[in-house]
Amino acid sequence: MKSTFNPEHPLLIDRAGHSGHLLGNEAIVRGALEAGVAFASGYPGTPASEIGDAFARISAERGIVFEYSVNEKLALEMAFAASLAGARSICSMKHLGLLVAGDPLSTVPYIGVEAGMVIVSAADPGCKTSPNEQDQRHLGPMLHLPILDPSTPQQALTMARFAFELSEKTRLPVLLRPTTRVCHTRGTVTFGSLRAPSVRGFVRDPQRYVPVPHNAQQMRVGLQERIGRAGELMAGAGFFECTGNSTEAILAVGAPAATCADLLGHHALGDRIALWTLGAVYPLPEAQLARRLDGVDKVLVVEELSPFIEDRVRNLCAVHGLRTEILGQRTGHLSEVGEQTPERLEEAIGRALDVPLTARDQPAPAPVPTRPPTLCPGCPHRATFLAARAAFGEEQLYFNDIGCYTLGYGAPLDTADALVCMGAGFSLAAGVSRMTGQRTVGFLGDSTFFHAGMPALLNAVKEDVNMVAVVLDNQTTAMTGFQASPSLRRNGSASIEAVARALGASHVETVDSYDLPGTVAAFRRAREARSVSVIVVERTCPVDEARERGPDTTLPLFEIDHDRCRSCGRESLDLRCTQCVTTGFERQLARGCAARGANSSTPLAPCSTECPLSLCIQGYAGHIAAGEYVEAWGHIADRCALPESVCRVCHQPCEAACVRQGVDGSVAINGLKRFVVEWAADRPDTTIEPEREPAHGLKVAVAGAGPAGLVAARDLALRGYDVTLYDAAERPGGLLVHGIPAYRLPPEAVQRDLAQILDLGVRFVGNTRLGRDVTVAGLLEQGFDAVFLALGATRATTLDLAGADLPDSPAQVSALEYLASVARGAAVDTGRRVVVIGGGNAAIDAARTGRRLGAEQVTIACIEADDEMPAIRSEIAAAKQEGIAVRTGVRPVRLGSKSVCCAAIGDEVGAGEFVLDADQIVLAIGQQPDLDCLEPKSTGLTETDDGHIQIDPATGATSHPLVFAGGDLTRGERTVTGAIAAGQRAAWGIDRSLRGAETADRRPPPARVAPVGHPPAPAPADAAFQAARVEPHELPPDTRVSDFREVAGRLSEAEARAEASRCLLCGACGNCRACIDLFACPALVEVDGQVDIDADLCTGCAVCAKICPNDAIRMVARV
Amino acid sequence: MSEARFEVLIVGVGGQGVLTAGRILGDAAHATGLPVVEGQLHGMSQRGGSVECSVLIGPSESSFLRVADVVVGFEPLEALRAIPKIGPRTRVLLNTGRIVPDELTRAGRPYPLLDSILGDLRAVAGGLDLVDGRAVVEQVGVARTLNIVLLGALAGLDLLPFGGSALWRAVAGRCRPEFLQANREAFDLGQAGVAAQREGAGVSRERQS
Repeated sequence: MKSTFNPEHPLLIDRAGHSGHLLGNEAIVRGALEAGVAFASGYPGTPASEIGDAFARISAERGIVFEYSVNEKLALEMAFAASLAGARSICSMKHLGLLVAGDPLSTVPYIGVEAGMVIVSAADPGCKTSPNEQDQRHLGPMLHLPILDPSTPQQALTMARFAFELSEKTRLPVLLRPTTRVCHTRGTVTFGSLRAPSVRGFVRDPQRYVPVPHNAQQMRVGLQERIGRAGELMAGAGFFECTGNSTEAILAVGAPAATCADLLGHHALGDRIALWTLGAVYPLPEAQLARRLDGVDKVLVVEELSPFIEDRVRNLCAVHGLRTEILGQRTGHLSEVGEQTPERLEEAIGRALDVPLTARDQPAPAPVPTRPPTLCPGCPHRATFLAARAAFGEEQLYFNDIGCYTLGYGAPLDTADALVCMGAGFSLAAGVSRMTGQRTVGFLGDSTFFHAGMPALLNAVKEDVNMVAVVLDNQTTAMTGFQASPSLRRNGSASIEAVARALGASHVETVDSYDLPGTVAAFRRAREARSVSVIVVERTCPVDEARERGPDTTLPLFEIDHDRCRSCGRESLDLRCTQCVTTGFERQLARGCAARGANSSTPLAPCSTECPLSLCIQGYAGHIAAGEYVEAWGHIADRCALPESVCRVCHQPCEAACVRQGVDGSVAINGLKRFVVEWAADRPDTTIEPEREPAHGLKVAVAGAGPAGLVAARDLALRGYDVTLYDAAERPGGLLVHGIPAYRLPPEAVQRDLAQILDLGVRFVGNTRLGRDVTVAGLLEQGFDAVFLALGATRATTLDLAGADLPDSPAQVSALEYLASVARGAAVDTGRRVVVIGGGNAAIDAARTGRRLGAEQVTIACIEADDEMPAIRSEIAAAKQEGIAVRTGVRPVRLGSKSVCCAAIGDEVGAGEFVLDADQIVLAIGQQPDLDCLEPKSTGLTETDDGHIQIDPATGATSHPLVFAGGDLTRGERTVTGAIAAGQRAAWGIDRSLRGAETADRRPPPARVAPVGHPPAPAPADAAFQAARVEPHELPPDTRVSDFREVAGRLSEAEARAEASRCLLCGACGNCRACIDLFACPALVEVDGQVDIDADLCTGCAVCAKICPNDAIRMVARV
Repeated sequence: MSEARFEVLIVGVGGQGVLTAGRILGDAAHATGLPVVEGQLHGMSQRGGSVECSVLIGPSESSFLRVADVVVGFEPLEALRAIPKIGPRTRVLLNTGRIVPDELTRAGRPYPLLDSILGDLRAVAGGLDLVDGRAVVEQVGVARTLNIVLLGALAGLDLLPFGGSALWRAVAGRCRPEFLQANREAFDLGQAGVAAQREGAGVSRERQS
């Protein structure tokens, strides 16, 4: 309900003697009206703001010229000019503004005013709404200003009216200086008559008005006489009142005078203690004071902020030879700090004047959570600060300013590293930048920009400072009560962008803070630019809009979709990430949302969907970007057995699925994983112990210690099983040890993985071949409750080529044998020229191994076309870098003398044939499981028609109830990571079959098929959000082929963080509180662990919906 | 001279209408011919901060309130914060609707139990009256009438040195015509607490001897 509804404004009631009910600030306005004020100006500032507001409302009706000036200096100059023009004038500001106006203020008394001029500057004891408390009374002697200090609204009225007379008679501007207590107290006041404003006109007299030194010297002499005259007039005006007759007195000045009067009345001490109240604080009514002092023994001086009066009273006593004891702040009876409250005064009076007076025993205040001011729901500044954090990052320095944006201080917005006064957001940013070279960010509001920011911007442009100047233009001075800003469009006024350009800024952009991605993009461009960038963020203050137009009932509301909030869609996978969510990660989440724009859908992150292990990739990427490596490691350690191996040899379906693929390159996910794995390996104290169930006595035999077998053994051990791991080889590791060359997977990395598993108590029995040393039936007879078969595919496919019987035909070897020999450390003479037949990873491994064994000419020949080779893309590229020729779409036809003849696929015999010289042929055309050792028929295992063991891929179950199988022994993708997932699923399957689903499901396996979800949001098309992929370093090709040192290096910490920041975190998150923890809109509340939106507070700005990673914030119609 | 003075403390959160309520109460006293002083402490409080307003009816120079005769709490935690101004002669009229401080939301800490807040208030106050303001406002169907509901309830306590009709006139004097009807309803529902309670909302009373 707006208070503008009123047929007759109470300030305009023209009846002398009328009893009004006015705020102190309104009483001042009334006093000015009764003095016939014709001009009023001011700059908003609590606690003085209501003075300008009242003039704004009534000026037109009263025929008064009013303006909210652009700053206090202007307000004072305008009022002075009005006075020179013969119009009584008033200007108002808070205490801080008076010093902004200090330049004209110090000379106006010299020149002198014509019509009465009153300056109102409100003080704020206790810093209730100010960065400092200051005692402007000291300006009186310094600048020759008469000062009046009211104690009640009634006195404020009387003093204001009198001040114009005083000003006119002394030609001095008069300072009326109330405090917050008086400004914001509403009391009963008695009205005088209104007086019509009048303007006498400006009379030319340059000698009188131009203070060139000669004139100024004359003026200075006259000033003494005029300030003396002011003292006489004030002494006669009744602002020194004395009640009671006693040898002890209280001299109370300004607001505390009212409090003292109430106290003495309350305690019935009026007879014992005289009360002298003083409102004429400079010049003092010295003669009257001296007379009073002469009659008393003790005086307690009660004033606020400094012993201004107390010191003068002491001086007076000295001058007059009085022995009166003066008590107050100097004697420690009262504090200089803050307001003189009744409790403080009771204590001080009791102590100073020897009366039995103690403060009331107040109940102890309850410990109540504080409620500091915060940006309103829907505040555009909140969105701007969030966008800045998203674009500039955690390390950015921010300099802020006076106004609503001050509330960027503190968590979570945290965009105020220093703040001093109006307009200094820019100059602080500029000064720090000039000294440190950092690209700093300064914030100003629209009013502040016009008030004092324009010179600061000009200065920064002039000095070519490396900074970003942000103007938060909400078109109003909201903090002080929505006074119109010069940029207010409905006033058709100044364009901040045009001003910034005119001041010489070359990079200037205007954005809408509700357009979060647009604002983040603009900030990113500003981050990358040099010199001064100016970003104007425009959005009308919604509170001001509502005040002007009433609540907008057409706006939508938002509510939380609880099915989506805190659900990543993969809860069934028991990702157990609750311990990992921290603010840093959430900031990355929000940053990701801001980068890719509003969620149009949600989103299972495609990388995680494709990951055979269902790793939460965005989880660890987000933590890495935030520098939270322990948390990142937590995401990997829990679900990724064999991390050292996986982070080196994974076939990276995640990277192929990344939404950045095809835009600016997929995120280097495996590089990030390796960074974290090695980071953790370097820090044994960060070891995350996997959750382990107590032993229950059930026993499982695992045959085959390759990736599938190792992981099944690990998971079963964690599930409390007694596990024995058999392998035909002497040592565990299988393919990891003898199938993948050391330059990709160094043996020491594999050993770290193996140690993690064997340390769980898994018993390893080597040199034990199934079918020779043990049998499935035998294992079950031995008392194993289940057997897991992970024998791999060990039988290499051979090729029967004509010419093999020629004496000098090249030697043939399978890739398996070839790689295993090298891994064993056997001396392998591979010759000068090697031809590898095949297009898979084994072929690449063999070819690159051949180069390292000294072959000068290595060629890969495969039947697949270029883009159909099954090998990992990066591996093919690496092989080519090492000088390996790749002939695709060809097949070997026959062997010749140290050569192999090949033909293009589809060509008629002989048509496209060519010959490759070869000392050695390596066949890498596939492997098959060796089922002979299993005797499937007698064991009761079903074979597939292509020679694998038939299983249920979800559980690894075979047709034998106690036998499970996985890995390359079964049909499926032939990858290390796939085998690991198969091992995990089989462990789960075995557990289900032996202990039941309920128990087993406490540790579910990775999803076998992609969960059903929405497509991910697209990668950003905006160049501001694009960044090149950071590739892990590699050894240079010409040196690396000389030995088996690991080729791929790890990312440095800085590289890892930069690369991780490229992750858009495009999937939903199951443990997110980003809206509350980062955006912190008051409309977002958490009730019983659920996030909700308070419909009474939601303004429909939609910004929170844009940062919700889960797309769980939905628009609903306003009822 | 506190015997001649009736001191009301209104506390709440920025945006709830605390200052308007104080202003209306002051208007009513002034219109009745009683001297009245109101003091506001708000500062930046339109931004969701704590707001308090003291209304001292009777002879007074300053706006400092010492012990309230009535505390009108727009919000339970804010009433709790006012405990230093509550004594055995204080009646507390409390709207039970909670506004969770951001500090708690961000820390993931729960709002204190209402029973515990009421217990703390009962321990120091002379009487406690509860209003389910949100239910009444919903019944009225017009937002921003909570302060009028509470003024009505205050009139219903029958403690003010002027009658409910004087208070209503002050409400009407500060009300845009289009909201007059809704405010009347809000005021009446607040005042006739018992009747409202029958409707499943409203004022419940508990008195201490």
